[in-house]
Amino acid sequence: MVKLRENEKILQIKRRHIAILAIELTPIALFFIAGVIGAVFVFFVPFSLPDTLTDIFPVLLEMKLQLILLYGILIALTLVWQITFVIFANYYLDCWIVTDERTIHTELKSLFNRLLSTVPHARIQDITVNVSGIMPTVLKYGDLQIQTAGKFHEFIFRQVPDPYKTKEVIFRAQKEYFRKKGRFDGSGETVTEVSG
Amino acid sequence: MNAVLIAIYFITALISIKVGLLVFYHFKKFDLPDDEKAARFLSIYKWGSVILISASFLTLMAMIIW
Repeated sequence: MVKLRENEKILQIKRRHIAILAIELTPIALFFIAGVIGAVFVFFVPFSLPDTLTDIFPVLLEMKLQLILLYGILIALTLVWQITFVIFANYYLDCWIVTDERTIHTELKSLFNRLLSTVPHARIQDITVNVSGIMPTVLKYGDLQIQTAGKFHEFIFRQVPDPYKTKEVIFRAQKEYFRKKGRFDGSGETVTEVSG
Repeated sequence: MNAVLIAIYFITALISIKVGLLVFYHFKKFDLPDDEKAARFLSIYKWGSVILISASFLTLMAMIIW
């Protein structure tokens, strides 16, 4: 899907800041760790139900409670594992690739909806960086918006680390692009491709 | 009781297979250049899923047999 042109060189690949992924994954990771500890505990430590409970529900005595608990934990862990990787795939495939000719954005919007858009350097008019809030300031991440000439597709690098450096890289690449081409001929097209 | 546990197992396995196929499909479709991390990530995902599904299956079998 992301096909580079002949002699096109990648200058930078940007993804959202790792802290964003960490925040999304923290509750799931805690659940997963608790599940693993629970499974080990259930497997190795024998336990029995209180007599009062088995007096009320004698059917509980016939059930292999330890195995049922272990099975439940393993099933829950399997589902959590899938959710973790869907979140990770979402993070990983949502990226911005700056090449010496254009900027490419790939995004997995949902499991059945992906997007690929490109903006050639010739079309870039201005770049705005927005770093607002305590966490983005401390961790040095923010949004970078590219304003393009002509038909505009919202082209925003969201929550990327070092947005000012990326801005410099894009401007430098644009300068180099114009130097190579000699002048701005406006031949670049902004392309957006959405697949379901 | 066993029938319910077997049904739960099959539903979980089907969800895992479906999610796995979709994740692999998207990685193949995007085909990001210069990307060695993706192969490692997919390998961890694949083996993690295999281990968890196998462990669930073994526990299920243990419950049914004993």
